[in-house]
This record gives sequence, C-alpha cells and structure tokens, in this order.
Amino acid sequence: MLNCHDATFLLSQRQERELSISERTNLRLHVTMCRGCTNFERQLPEIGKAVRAFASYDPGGSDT
Amino acid sequence: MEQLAAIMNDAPSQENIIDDRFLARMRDEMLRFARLQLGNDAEVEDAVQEALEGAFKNGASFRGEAALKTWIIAILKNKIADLLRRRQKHPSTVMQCEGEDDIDGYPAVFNHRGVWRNTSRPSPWGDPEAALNSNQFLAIFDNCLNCLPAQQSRVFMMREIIELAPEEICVETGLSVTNIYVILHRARLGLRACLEQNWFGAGADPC
Repeated sequence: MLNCHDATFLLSQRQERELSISERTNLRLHVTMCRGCTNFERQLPEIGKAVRAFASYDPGGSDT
Repeated sequence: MEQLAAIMNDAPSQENIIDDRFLARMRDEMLRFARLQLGNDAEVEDAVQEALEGAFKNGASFRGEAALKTWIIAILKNKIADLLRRRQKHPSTVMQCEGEDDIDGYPAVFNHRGVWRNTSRPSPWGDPEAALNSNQFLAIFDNCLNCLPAQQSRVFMMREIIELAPEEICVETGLSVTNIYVILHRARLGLRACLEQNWFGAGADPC
C-alpha cells in the first residue's frame, strides 16, 4: 500500500512519464481513499498553469 | 530602444500593430523570463536581443500583439534551450535540494510514515483559474518560487516553462533522471504548500 509521499511522487512523475499498470493501480487505490492526495492530484495541473501564467506575465497589462 | 526602433524600421509591415510601449514591455518580460532560466548574465541580453531580431526578420504576418508575443516567446524559448544545452554545468548533488526540513527521509509535509501532516494536507482550492492572471496572485507565485531551493526552481522552470524533457534537463544539469523526478516532486510539493498557505488559505508565513 502506498503512503501519501509515494502517491504524490507518482502523481508528480506522471507529468513526465507514463506510469506502469501496477503503479497506476496502486496509485488509484491510494488516491481513492485519500482526500489529501485527491486534492493534490487536482492541484498539480493548476500549478503548471500558474507557472505558465507567471512566465507570460505582462506587467503592463490590466489587473483582472 | 534605438535598437528596437531599428528593428521595427526593417519590418514596415508591422508598424501598425507594434508601438514602442509594446516593445519595451515585451523586452522587459523576455528579460525576466530569460533571467529565470539563465541567471543574470550577459547571455540573457544577447538571447533576448537575438530573439527579438529573429522574430521581426522572419516577418510572419501577425494579426495582433498576442500572436506576435507568442511567436517571440517561442523563439526565445528555443534560444534559451540551446544556450542551456551548450552550457557545461557542473553536476550538483541531489542533497542540495533535500533541504534541512527533511524528517525521516520525507519532506516535512509528511510524517515519519509518509502520510500528510494534518497542517499540510492539501485542501480544496475552489476555482484557481479565476486567479491565475491577477497581479496579486502572480506576485505571490513569484515569492513562492523564490522560497524554493534554487536548484528546485530551476529544474521546475526548465520542465514547466521551457518544456525540456527530463532527459534534456539531465544533460543540462548533470543530474540523473531519477534525481530530476525527485526534485520536480519536491518543487511541486513546496509550491503547492506555499500557494495554499499564502493564496488559497491566506495564511501569514510567506515561506
């Protein structure tokens, strides 16, 4: 059984590589039962979007 | 700005959509973007200048500033990626980014069994999309990036902004792919915690 550290590590790696079937199965088992890791999984893509928004930040633009 | 004006004169068809203010802003933004990746050295100014010149020389027709900006940033990204690939960096050890806050081999957000600590467990964020482009959010994001160990933020930005593959980051930094996975994981944990504390949770501690 994965702990939260291992599960978030796999969730992070999933942004870089394809996980194996057993990794995916173990990950799903953990995330389904773990509210914290469920939130982490939802937030990961938002962090990616945030850094891209940050990179294309226009200091002269309007504050929306 | 004279250099920029000269570039503009080489591309008269662009005149109607490009003004000095846009170019100055664009240049600032590019410098900022390039410095994040290359550090504050002479190569940054050169890369930005070359990217700007390249963008106008190749004179594609742009329907507006947004398209032009996307085009220039794309060129700059390539320049930065080239420079990074060419640079011979000494490999840094993964220990540098482990930080002092590691407890029992886990980052501090986890307890000794690798389970989220109550104070660190991720909470729902509501609708983050709405915030992404506000100046206030981006200022906090900037602070959060600065709170990360230098190697973490560098590898994270190579991955997420320059969009280098882990293998390419490996060539650039001398780190193994496994180490890069570890560093990216830690950067994401750190950024996530910082954003939740300072933006979504509105806590007090900036780091």
